[in-house]
Amino acid sequence: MLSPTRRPPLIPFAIAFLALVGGCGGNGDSVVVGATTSLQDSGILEELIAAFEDNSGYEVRPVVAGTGQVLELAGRGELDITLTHSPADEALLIEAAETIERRTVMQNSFVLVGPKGDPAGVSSAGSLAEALAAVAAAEATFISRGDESGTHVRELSAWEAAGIVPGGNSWYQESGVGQGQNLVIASDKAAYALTDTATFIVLRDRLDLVAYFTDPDRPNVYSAMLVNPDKHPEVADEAARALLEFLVSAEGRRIIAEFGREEYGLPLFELPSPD
Amino acid sequence: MSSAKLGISDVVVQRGTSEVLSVSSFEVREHEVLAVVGPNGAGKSTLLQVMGLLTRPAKGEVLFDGSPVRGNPLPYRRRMAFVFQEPLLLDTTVEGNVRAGLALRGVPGAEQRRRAAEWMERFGVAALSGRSSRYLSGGEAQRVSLARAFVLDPEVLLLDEPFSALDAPTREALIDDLDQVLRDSRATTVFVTHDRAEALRLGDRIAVMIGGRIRQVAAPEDVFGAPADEEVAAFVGVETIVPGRLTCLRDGLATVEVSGVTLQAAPLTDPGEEVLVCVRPEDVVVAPLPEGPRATSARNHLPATVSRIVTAGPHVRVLLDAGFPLVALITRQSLEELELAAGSRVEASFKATAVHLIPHRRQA
Amino acid sequence: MDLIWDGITEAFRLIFTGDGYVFDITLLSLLVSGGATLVALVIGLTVASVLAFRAPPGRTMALSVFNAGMALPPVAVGLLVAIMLWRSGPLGQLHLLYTPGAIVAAQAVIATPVITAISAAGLQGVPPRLRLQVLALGASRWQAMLLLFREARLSLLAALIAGFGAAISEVGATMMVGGNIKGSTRTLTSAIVLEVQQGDFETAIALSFILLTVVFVVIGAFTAVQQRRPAS
Repeated sequence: MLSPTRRPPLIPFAIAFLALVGGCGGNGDSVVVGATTSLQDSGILEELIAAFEDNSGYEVRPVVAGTGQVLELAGRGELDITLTHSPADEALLIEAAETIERRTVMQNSFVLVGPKGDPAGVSSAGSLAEALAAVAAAEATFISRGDESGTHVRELSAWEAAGIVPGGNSWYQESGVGQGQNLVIASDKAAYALTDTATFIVLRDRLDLVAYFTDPDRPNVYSAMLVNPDKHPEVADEAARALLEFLVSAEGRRIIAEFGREEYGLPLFELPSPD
Repeated sequence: MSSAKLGISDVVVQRGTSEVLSVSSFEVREHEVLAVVGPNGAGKSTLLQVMGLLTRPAKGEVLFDGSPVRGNPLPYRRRMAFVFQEPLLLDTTVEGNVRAGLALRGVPGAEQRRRAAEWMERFGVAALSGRSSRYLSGGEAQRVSLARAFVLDPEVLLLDEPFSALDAPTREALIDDLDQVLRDSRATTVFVTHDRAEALRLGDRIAVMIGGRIRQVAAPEDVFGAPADEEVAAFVGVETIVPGRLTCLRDGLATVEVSGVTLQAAPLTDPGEEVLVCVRPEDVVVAPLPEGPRATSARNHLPATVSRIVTAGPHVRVLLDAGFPLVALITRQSLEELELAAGSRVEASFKATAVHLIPHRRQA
Repeated sequence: MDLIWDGITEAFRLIFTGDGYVFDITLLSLLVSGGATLVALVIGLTVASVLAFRAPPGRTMALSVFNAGMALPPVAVGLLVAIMLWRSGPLGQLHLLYTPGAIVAAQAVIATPVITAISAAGLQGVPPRLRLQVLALGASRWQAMLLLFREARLSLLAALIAGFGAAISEVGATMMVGGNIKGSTRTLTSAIVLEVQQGDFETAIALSFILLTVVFVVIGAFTAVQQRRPAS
């Protein structure tokens, strides 16, 4: 049989097409920031990014994921700057010199929320550990983030302080989803969950949950870290530094301090206590 | 003698490890109808596809107007037309199909319509022009396929058993029409068939193909009268088909001259002057030469000489020379009792009703 | 049930007020999935033609691979494509990650096996000698291919519809390689996921309704083309 059609070379054509669609925005003009879900769910991430883009002319590509994924990507040099709230894990990256220049940007508090009526009686607890112990004692359903996020890490240290191992019990469930969705699940199951004040206030109207106990001991601290350009030459270090500077600048701090005041009556974040 | 229009040289086609076609030289002359005949599996279709530049041979080349075809076969293919056994119509209307080849060549729409209309008319499918090809009978579809080929005004026409998938009456009607069109257009044609009657009817020359090789190419009388070897003889000698001329038809009895011998037939309709005479071997009675005249109902008694004896299972085919090649089928016992051998003189008899006449228009 | 009704009314409100955000994500979904389907169509038809008409050795194995590819979990594809597009990955130089181009690539990977497998089946259904007849009619290789595609158009359009459906309904890979970034890589499907994550079910249902409507219109158009018949 005589051979059929010979086609034009497709692979180069396809790549050219993709490059075109992908936008010619090269590395220099954009910065990839890895941010945790609670920053997106509360809405502050969007506002900060919009202000920074207007201000600087850089394009921001936010990659929103759990703290675990964000820090993993940072360690691989796939991000330029991170915005997370897990001090212990952040410290590890600094130690390994994958990231440099950690600066605290904002903070709020962890809050234990639960179903109406407080069946486990956590509101009278004196510490987060005590509150969780009450939940365990009542065998009330608890939805954990279960994803090594900042919230999850705080939760685990509280269990440890209370001397309880929650895993394996039927009332302890790990969702593995983001901050907002975790609350939706807890609301649906009339369960307890640990979250941050900002996310809770923003989503409160959609949930059947009440905030019972705000953790006084350890605030939920969000820090930014630059991915080390010496270790990862691909990093857009100039743009990343510009974003970092913006977050701690007067304008950035103003946005953070005022965020939520108009809509919810009170700011959802506070500026960090000086390190 | 007209020049060679299309030919092949030293061609070998292999399928797997076996050679299905091996031809050192073969050609069709301009304006002739060359019928290629042979048993199934002889390689006839492969031969035609090689000539039509649809199959590339392992060895050898194709010659168009005497020069070898090299490089892109497309320009040559566009000077030929090929019709297959199945109609192979496209999923569109009859007119769409007939115009398909013209559209591929970039012929302007108005001219496409005009030429298509002419050829749909010629092949009797003009009334069906708007019908979808899915709703055609076998005969109608094959007519469309033929119209689609002829509309291209090809320099060479290649037909691969175009009628073998049709029933007898449809086939008859189509052969008549095709015969007429071929005479009128004088297109150079190669026509493949396994039916000897078709080959004789349409062909100016006949090529016999057996086992992937061409055994004999000659005028029909020579192929059927003087087969080149045993295998050809066995193939063509299966039945009697000879050309003849009808000289008189009265009261239902026809007198036919075949190579100087007079036969009588009883045709139901008038077949015209030029005919093909067919006699089934089972209808031929072989007897020793009689002493004197005797009365029998059989109207044909021909003195003949036995030229060959071919065993065909429990029966025997006796190839006789009665002035023309005549085939008789008899039992083994009769063969032995009559003590027949090559060269024996016998009398062959058959009834007028056993003689079938087919119209046979020869090229002017 | 109220929620679904509320969602549908919200959908109409978004459409008729010409909400900019919704318009953006809808347009992006169509462009990205349309582009991906086009890429998949080109690759898929090429491979299908070769497999159907050249009948190479190993054809059954190749078709098994493509048939199995229809069941590829999209999120796994997304992860694979993301790893390729990482800065440290082999295609990192293209800087495609978190851009619409990455989504086109991932969706194309998902749609290609679908289009290939269904097209190959359709083209194999074309009578084998028809190709010879078409060549004998004087078709060049391109003309022959297009003619045979027209003969198999029922199956080929089914392949197109299935491929587009796979691309536009996809969300796992889209989010993984696109990042769901508002204004640049947020599609209808990834926007729906976001709204669900944040508990805004009414908006999620509204967007779902809009997505279904858009999909129905596009695929309805393809179906109309597929079902066009010559006069009988």
